[in-house]
Amino acid sequence: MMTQTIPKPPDGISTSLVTARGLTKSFGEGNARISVLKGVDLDVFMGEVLLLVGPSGSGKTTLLSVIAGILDADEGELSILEQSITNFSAAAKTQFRRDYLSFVFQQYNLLPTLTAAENAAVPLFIRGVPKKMALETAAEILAELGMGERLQSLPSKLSGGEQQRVAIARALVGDPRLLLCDEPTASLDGETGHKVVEQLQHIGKRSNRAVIIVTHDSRIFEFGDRIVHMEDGQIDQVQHVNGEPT
Amino acid sequence: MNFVALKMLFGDRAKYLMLLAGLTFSTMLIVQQGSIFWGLMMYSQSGISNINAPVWVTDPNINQVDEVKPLADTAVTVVRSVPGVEWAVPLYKGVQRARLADGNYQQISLVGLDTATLLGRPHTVFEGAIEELRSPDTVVLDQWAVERLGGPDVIKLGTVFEINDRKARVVGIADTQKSFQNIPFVYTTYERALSYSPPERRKLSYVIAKPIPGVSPESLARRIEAETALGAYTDEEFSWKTIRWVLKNTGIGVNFGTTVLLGFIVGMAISGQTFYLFTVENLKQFGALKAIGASTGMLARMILLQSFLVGFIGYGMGVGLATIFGLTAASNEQLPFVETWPLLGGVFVALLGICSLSSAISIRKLAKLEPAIVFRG
Amino acid sequence: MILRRLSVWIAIGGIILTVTTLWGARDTPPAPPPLEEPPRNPYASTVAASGIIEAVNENVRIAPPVSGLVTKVHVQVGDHVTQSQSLFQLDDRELRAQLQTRQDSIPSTIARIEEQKIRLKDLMDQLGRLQAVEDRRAVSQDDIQRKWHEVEGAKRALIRAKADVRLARTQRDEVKILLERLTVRAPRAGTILQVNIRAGEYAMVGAQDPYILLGDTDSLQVRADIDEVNAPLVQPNSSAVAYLKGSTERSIPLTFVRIEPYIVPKRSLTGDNQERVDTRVLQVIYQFEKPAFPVYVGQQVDVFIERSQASKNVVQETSK
Repeated sequence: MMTQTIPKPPDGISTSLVTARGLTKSFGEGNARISVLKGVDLDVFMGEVLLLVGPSGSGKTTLLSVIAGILDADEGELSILEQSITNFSAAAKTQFRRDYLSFVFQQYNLLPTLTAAENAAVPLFIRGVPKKMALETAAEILAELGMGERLQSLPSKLSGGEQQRVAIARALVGDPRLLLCDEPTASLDGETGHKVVEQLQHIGKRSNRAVIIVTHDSRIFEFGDRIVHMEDGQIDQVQHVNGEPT
Repeated sequence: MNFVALKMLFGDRAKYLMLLAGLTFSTMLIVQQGSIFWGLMMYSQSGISNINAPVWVTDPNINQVDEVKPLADTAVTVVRSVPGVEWAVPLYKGVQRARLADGNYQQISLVGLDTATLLGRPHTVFEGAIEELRSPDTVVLDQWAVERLGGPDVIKLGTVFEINDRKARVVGIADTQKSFQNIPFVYTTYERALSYSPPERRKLSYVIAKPIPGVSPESLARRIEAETALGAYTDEEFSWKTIRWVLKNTGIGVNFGTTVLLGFIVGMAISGQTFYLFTVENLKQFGALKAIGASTGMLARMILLQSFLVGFIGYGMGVGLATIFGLTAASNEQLPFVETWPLLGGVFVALLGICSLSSAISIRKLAKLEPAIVFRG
Repeated sequence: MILRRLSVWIAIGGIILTVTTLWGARDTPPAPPPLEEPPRNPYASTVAASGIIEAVNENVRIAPPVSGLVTKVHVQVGDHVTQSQSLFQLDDRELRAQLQTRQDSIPSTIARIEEQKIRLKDLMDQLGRLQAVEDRRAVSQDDIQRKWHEVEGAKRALIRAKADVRLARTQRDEVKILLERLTVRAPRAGTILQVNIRAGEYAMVGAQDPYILLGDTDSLQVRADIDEVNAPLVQPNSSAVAYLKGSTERSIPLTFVRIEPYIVPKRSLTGDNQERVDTRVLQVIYQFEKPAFPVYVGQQVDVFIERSQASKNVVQETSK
C-alpha cells in the first residue's frame, strides 16, 4: 500500500477551492454493507479543470455527490471555499449549492416544457431574480455559447449538443465557483463532445473557478489539468496533464 | 418559480388533459351521485317541505312525517297556551284512497288545512284557486295527482271523484314537491278531511305553529316540549328526523349510500392517483431543480400550486358538468337531483385534500434527494 | 398557455353555473300568508280554549207531557215567545168527546135535585098533615113515625143529588184540564231556536232530540273547554277574549261568570254520531254583551284566557 500524500497544486496555482480529508461513505447495513469511499483526500485548486476517472463502481459519482452536498460523508472533513460543508444542515447545503455550485448532467436534465432561454435562467429564478432580467442574462450566455438563434426552442427541438450547451449555460448563469459535471460527453458524438469540453475548459480557466468532470471518455483527457484516477473507493493515482504523474 | 411550476403543469398538453379529465370526471361522478342521493332524501321529506310550517307539534314518539300518531283535539288549544306562539292551527295528514269515475283506485296523501286560514297551503297554484276549498266537497290536487289519476285530459277543474266513497270536486291544481313513493297530495279543509277519513278515536295529525317575532322556532319547539307532553320539532329538525329514519329503516340508506360512497372513493382514488403519477413523472425535473439549489419549501410550493390549480380547474369543470346533467337529464323532476352546498363544499375540500396528500408524498421524496435521480439515469 | 386560459375559464364558468343554479333552487318560496288572520293571543301569557256560544239561561228542550199526535205547531224558528204562549197542540179529540159527555151529564143531575126537592116538600106536607090530626085514634103513632122517616130519607136524597151535580162538574173540569195539557206552552219568554216537529207527526215522551229548543238569544254566554292538562292554569275572574272561527279581526271581550266544578268528557264536534271520548275538559263560563256583528247560539269560538302571573310561575318552575 502506497502512502497517501497530499497532492501538490499544479504550477502557478496555489489556492485550494475544495479540500477533502479522509472521506468515507458506505451504503447498506450488516453483511450487505458496501464501502464506496474508503478515505479520500483531495484538493481542487482554483483555475483548474480536474478530471475524475476510474472504472464503474470506483466511487466517482459518490465522491461528486458528497462534494455537491447531495450525500453526506460518513467520516472525514470537506470544506469548500474555506467553509466546512460537513457540519451544514440540509437546507444550508441547498443554499450553498444555489450560491456557489452548479451542475452539468449526463442526461442534461432540462425541463421539457421550458424554452432554452427559460431553462438556462432557472438558477436565477430560484434566486428570485425578476423574470425579464433573468431571461436577458441567460440569453447573453447562450449567445456566448453560440445558441443565440435557439433561445425560444424547446429542449425536444434541440440536438444533444445543443441541449448540453443549454445545460452549460444554466450552470454558468448563476456565476458559480465550482462546476460539477457528470459524464457531460457520454451522450454526445465525438466532435460535439470535444466542443463541449472545450467550452468547459474555457470557463474553468476563467477567473478563480474550478471544474470537476467525472468521465470515462478518454478523448477528453487532454483538456484536464489533472486527472485523478479512482479505484475501489480510493484515489489511486493523480496525473498532471503535460507533467509527470506523482 | 411560480411560472416555472405553471409551465411544467400546462406545458405538456397530453399529460395535462389526462390529469384534468381524471379530476373532472371523478368530481362529476361524486357530485352527480351525491346529488341524486340527496334528491331522494328530499323526496322522502316532501310531506314536511310541502306544508312549509315553522314548528310541527305531534306525538313525542313519532318517527317520521308519514307515520302519523294522532293527537287529542284539545292539543291545538294546549299549544296555543304556550308563551311565544303566534298561531297554532290543526293539520290533518293521512293516506286515503281515491276512486275515479272509471273505477280506478289511487292512493292519495290527504292534507286537511285549517278552514279559516288555510295555513300550510301550497305556494303555487297552477290552475283554479285555493280559496275555493271553502265551497262544499272541494279539493285541490297537485301536478302528480293529475299525472297519476289519468293525465290532464281526465283530471281538470270541476272533475268529480270519490275519496272513501265521499264526493270530491277538483277546484285547483297546485305545485308540490314529489314524494318518495309518488303518492300525490290532495288538499282540503280540516273538517272535510275528517269526514273523508274513516272513523278513528283520534284524528288530529299535527298542530303546526309559528313563533312570535323574536322567538326562534327552535326555542319555541323546546318550550312546547317542556310545557306540554307533546313532541315539537322545527321543520328542519323534522326533516332530518325523517331522513334519518329513511336511512336507518329502508334499504335506500345502505344501497344507495354504498353507491355514493363507492363513487366518492373511486373518484378520490382516481384524482389522487392521477395527480401522484403526474408528480412522479416530474420527479426527475424536480430533482434537477433541487440539485441546482431550489429548497424543499420552494419545490413544495410549486407542487402545491400545481395541485391546487389543477384541482380547482378539475373541480370547476366537474361540478359544471354535473349541474348541466342535473339541468337536462333531471329536469321535470323525473330524476331526483338536488345539489347542496355541503356536498359541493365537501367534494371541494376532499379534492384539494387528496391533491395535497399526493403532493405531500412527492414532496417527501424530494426532501431526501437521491443522487440516482439526477446523476446518470 | 391558451389551454391554461381556456381550462381556467371553463372551470370558473362551471362553478358560476353551479352556484347560480343552486342559488335559484335554494330560493324555497316563503310560506304563503294565511287567508284569514289566525286567532292570536292578545295577552302576555294565555290559556287557550275552544268554546261554544250558548244562551245564558241554558237552552230549554221542550217536550210534550204525553205522547200524542201533533195537530198544530204555533211557532216558527226565530219567533219570540212570551211566557205560557202556546207552542204546539197535541191531538185532543178524544178528550173533547169525553168533555161533551161529562158536560151533558150535568143537567140530568141538576134535574134530580129538583125532583128530590119536590118529593121532600110533598112528604113534609104529608107529615104535617098527619101531625095536625088531634084524634090519636084516627092517626096511629106508627104512621107518623113512618112518614117522618120518609121525610128524613128524602132530605138525604136531596143532599146526594147535589153532591152528584158537584161530581159531574168536577169530572167535566178534569177533562178540561187534561185538554189544556195537550197545548204545549212556553215555560218562559225566549226565542225559538229549533223546531223539530211538524203537524201530523207523533210526539213521543222521552225523545232524544228536543221537539222545540227554546233559548234566550239576547244575553249570550261562552262555554270554554280547557284541556284538563291546562286546568290548573285557570284562575277565577281572569279576563278573556273570544274570536269567531274564521273572523279573527273582530274580538268579543268576555266577562268571567264561573268555573264549572265538574270536569266533563269533551264532545267532539266532528259531525260524527259516534261518541268518542279521548280527553276531559274543564268548562269555564264567560258572559258577553251582544257585539255589533252577528253571533249565533251554537257557534264555535277560539277563546284566549289571560294567565295570571302566579300560575305562569308554576309552569316555569315545573318546566325547569
